[in-house]
Amino acid sequence: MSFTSIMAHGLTGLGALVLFASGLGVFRMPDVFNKMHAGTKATTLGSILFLTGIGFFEPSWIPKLLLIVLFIVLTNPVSSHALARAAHNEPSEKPDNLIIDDLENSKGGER
Amino acid sequence: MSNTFLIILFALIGGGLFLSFLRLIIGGKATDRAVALDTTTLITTGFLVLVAFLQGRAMLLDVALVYSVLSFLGVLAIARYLDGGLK
Amino acid sequence: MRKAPAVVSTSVVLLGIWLSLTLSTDIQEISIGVVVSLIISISTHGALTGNLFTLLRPKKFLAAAEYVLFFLGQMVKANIDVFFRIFRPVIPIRPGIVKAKLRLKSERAKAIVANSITLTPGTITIDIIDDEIFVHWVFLPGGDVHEQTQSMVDSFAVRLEKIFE
Repeated sequence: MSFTSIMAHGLTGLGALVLFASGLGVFRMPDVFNKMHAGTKATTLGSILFLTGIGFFEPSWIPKLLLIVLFIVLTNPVSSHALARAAHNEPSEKPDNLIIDDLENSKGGER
Repeated sequence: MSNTFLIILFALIGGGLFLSFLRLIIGGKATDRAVALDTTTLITTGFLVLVAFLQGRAMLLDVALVYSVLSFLGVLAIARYLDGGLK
Repeated sequence: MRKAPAVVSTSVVLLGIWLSLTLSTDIQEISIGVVVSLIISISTHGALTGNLFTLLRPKKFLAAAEYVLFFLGQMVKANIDVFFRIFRPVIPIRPGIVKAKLRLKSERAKAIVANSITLTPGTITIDIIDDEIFVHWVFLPGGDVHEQTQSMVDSFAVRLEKIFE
């Protein structure tokens, strides 16, 4: 087996595993913010690894794959940030298991 | 790419897709579903790239790119809606 | 023409995106790409990327490269952390939202810090209000939580300050 073949198999396998972990994390985690931990970090690195692995299989696709990876890395935290803010602003959506909540305290002054 | 490896890849990605989609259906609160939607669309992007590779069609890469762009905009719109609209 | 470097760098980035999308060396495709990227970057005053020419200075380039490497390392650590958390029978969580000071001036730098924190071990950014950043921990660290959060935020902010001054 050549170097590119090993890299391609290893990266796609690892990427698929991390993508599976993100699905499992979103399924198992108890509340919104913790789901976000799995849903953001794992999907970002999973997509990076998986798409890079496909790039080793098919070198002529690398520019387009790079573009998809770049887009995912730039936008994924932004969408999770928007959802986190929405979840915190809406009282009925906010999880009640927070041990410390500094944001609620500093919001109290504004309202 | 050998057949066994292919089956493993499909099982892993399909499993992740299934679990996050299950969370999207059974839900919890509205934001839980929104996070599940975000994850589902990103895993689907990876799935599309895998299908593109198997069929050797570079056209599906464009589909994957546009799909991720639209899912990002959709999640942002949902987040703004849950936040009480544009203020 | 104070905005000229920003406009030029935006159009270069847009042209790069166009070229990797079309993957063609045909003169017509390239000239359409040049015209469209110039129109977009002039009409947005180069707000998409800002001035990228400062990165050509060796010192700043090294700082940026170091930041990217640091960030990638943190991201791999974050995924290992998430991975071993998810497969436990009972997921160990101790969530909490902690605030920290963010002393960066540039809005772009603030956005980069927020996005980086979201992708690093055990933390996501919830909100930024003025110069305070609110971080959600999946498992609150022992000891003084505020101090730990501050040092975690600073590890990004100090590196970014070298790039943005």
